[in-house]
Amino acid sequence: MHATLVVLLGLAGVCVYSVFLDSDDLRAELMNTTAMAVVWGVLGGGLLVGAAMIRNARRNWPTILAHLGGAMILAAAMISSKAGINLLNDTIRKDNPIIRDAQMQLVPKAFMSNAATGDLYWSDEAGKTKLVGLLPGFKLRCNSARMDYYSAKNDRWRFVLEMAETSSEGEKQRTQTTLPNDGRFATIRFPGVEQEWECALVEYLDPNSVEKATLVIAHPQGKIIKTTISKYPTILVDEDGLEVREITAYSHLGKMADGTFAEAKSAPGRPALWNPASEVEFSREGTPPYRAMVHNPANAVLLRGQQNNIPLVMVLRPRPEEVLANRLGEPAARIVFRRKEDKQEWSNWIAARVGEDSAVIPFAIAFQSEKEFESAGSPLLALVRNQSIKRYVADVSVLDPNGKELARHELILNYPFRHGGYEFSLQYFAEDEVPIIRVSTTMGLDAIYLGYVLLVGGLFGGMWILPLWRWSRRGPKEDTA
Amino acid sequence: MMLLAIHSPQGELGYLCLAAMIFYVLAAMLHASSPLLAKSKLVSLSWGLMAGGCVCALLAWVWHGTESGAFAAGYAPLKSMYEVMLLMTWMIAPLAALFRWGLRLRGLWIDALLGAVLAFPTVFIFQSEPQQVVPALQTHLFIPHVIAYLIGYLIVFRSAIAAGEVVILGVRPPRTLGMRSAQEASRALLRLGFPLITLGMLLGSLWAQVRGDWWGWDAKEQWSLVTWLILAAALHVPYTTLGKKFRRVMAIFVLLGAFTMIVTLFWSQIASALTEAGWLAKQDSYHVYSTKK
Repeated sequence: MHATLVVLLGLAGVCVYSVFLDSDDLRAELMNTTAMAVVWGVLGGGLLVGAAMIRNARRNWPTILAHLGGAMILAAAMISSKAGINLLNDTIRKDNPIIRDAQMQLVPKAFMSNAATGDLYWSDEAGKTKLVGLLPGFKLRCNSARMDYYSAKNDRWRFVLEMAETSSEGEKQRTQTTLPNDGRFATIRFPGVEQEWECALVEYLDPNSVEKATLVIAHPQGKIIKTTISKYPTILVDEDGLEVREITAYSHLGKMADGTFAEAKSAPGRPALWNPASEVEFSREGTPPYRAMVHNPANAVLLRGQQNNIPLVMVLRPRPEEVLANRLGEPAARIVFRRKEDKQEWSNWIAARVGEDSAVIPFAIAFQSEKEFESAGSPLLALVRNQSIKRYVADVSVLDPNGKELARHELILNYPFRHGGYEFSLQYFAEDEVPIIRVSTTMGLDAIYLGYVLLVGGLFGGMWILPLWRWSRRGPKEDTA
Repeated sequence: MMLLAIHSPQGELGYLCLAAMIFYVLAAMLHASSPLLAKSKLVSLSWGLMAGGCVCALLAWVWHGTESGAFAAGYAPLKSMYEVMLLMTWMIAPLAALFRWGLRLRGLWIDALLGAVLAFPTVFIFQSEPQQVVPALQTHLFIPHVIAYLIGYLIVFRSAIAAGEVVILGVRPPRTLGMRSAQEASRALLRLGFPLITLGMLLGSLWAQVRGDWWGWDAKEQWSLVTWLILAAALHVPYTTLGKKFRRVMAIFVLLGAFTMIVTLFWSQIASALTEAGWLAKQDSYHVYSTKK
């Protein structure tokens, strides 16, 4: 019995030590070392010996159950641990190795025609992902993914100014100030900038009303040109002689490993998705043409710096219906800045980015350089969704190698499904609503659950039910609870 | 290093919590003084005040749950420390009744004082900002996991108070006929609370599995395991020669378990303070619900 105390307290000590390690991974590593495996094994053996040593089994059956439950949990946990699975894979599962733990990125089929995949990945501590295996004999396909929101109490969007502020302890924190979004001007001050500015949100652009792609050009001088362009070639010449031409219209773009863009349909691997985009060429007489990829409908691209005469450009293009269905009414908005001193105005566009709670643009209206921008607290203006996410939902099909649907599941956070010896649980949505799925083997899981039932049943049986039963028979003075 | 900031009571909810705290303080004072004044009516009045504190805290909890939309969404408001403390504040009164009439424990003033201590942060420390239930908390395991733990914590904490008496005053027979001694009380309460703590931990593990792994080695999970291991050791102590020879040993184990239990409950706040002081690397925990999506 003293050995039991030593093992329990020793384990508690190691657990306390592990808390002060930097990450869950390091803790897992420590608790899964060979030395710890011995300790876990001793504890499991102790539980079995304890169960065998209990006298008067008829009276003390709950205690025996609890001990057996604990031993079962430990045994199943050791078999299904990383080392246990590796041992199985090296011996009896050589031909059909078990993958203990992996991730899948399920690109919704609206973004990628060949979206079905069986690829299992794992990320190392540096964040690099590597392929660790394939699902055995089946694939998953994400038919659609969406986020549901709680209904908004007031406006669905808030217009906010976000700035970095340095605290008294020297730490940089970003603070948000909500600005009026009804056209009224609000006064804003940037740290280190003497002049006061006023800012107002003056115009919404609802993407649902846009039948064709809309090109919005905001000149550095403050001039705004908004025009509808049909698929290439469209040429727009503004008053300054700047010619803007859409070279290629992409329905969906994938970012390739080398940083270039290509249509997601042909992009192998798991591209980060960029939604409707255009390659646009700007030219002005006497200067070489400049081509740029403008992706959106949400992400405005600030094309300044190298090409000072190139304005801010953004493209708004209707989305495929299945994507649009859950994204109604996300706005783009025009904001106006006014310098209080001389009432000079600048205007800029800001839009909501798909799959994110907010859309931000760095604005360079008041600042001449990146350094000046940073010293003013790197201010950002954002349209922030005034609603909380209610749930993440991915509609997932299980397919056989020929593409035949075997099962279909609505995968929600906290509600996994099982198939082919694996459990699939939704973890989060990556950029542009790509569901990230955690895949774990079900090996040993049911034994662990049975151990839970025995342990809890034994404890409640011995400490609650039996004393209550005795109390009901003999009266409160005789109970042992 | 500032662990928590004190603020004045805010809004109707703040005043309801304040009323609960005052009720509990008065109940504790009256009950503690009843033996001196030898007036049994004071004991009844203490129970009345205890009930008043419970009703105020319960009203505040229901009000907050309605305002935050938690009940409408089908969840109990248990997602922040404010809501958790509020729940424990009203729960202490029915538990006190269970201790008195179910387990024959004396010391209502201890339970009342505990209620006041639990009410204090809901009035002066934690904010009552209503938050909607984030997706991470939307599971049928959420409410049983938290409730099992909270009731288990309250019972084990009460066991630790009795254990404290054993450690300080030694093993003594009960002062009131028909009631339990401090040592018996501590053991009975531990046997009542330990299955709940085990249930809470295993429900948490089931919840972790639906997110991908049944034990994630999260720091708070580790503390809960430490608490469980120490309390399991405490339950084994009376069967050892050490425990039989030195009767205070089990009480010391219970006190140690209660300490790690408090660390588990407030680990998010403690970890933030330790991180701020530079003694701990920043930890990302599943248990910081308010920032989770």
